[in-house]
Amino acid sequence: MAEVLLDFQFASSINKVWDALTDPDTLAKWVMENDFKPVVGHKCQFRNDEWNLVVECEVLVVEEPNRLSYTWIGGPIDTVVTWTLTEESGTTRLHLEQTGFEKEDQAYNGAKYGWAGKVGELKKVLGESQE
Amino acid sequence: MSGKHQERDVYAAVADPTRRKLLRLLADAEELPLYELTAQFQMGRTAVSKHLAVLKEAGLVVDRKVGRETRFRLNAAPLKEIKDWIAFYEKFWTERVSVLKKMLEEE
Repeated sequence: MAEVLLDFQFASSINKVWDALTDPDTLAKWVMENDFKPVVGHKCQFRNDEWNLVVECEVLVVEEPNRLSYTWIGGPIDTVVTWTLTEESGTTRLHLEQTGFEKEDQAYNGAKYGWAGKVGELKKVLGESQE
Repeated sequence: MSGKHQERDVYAAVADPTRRKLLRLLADAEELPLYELTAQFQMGRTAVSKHLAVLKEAGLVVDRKVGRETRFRLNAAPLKEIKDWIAFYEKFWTERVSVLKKMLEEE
């Protein structure tokens, strides 16, 4: 278990889901505040000041409307997030892959970001926000 | 997850390149005596011993005496925090995407 693999199904069209994954204003509503742009090489940040969470990103792949990939470096983790979209008769299947967790020196990055012990706190925040 | 103090120890322990190399050497072997570990470094056995002591304090390395020599092996459990991050992000994305679903359905 060294990666996150998740599948989602949307009743919306593939273009709508693609827009939600790439438009910074929409991303702000469902992920976090950001200065994202769907342009390969674009560097940006996702941040949530309340959680003291800053994620550094660099866009790696933009294949509208099927594939989007960017680095996701926050806390002690240095990962790559890849979204794959597939159209299925007007609905959309969304597959998420987040890889890189097992890379060596992850714990070292943890020290660098001073993030040790934050996971538990974040879990709490997320757990509460769900209720 | 372990307590904050132990975590800090773990991070400090792996922040040093010599200690990271020691962990990698031990990860590749079941158990290694001090002299075999020392042979991989420019520094002497006293210096290597000191690094091993730091790893031991952080719970990353376990040692035992066999006759005259001390043998070391890796204990990776304190590094399991990476697994916690995977669990965290599974939950994170599942929740974020369910927010998105709601948004798109309400449109």
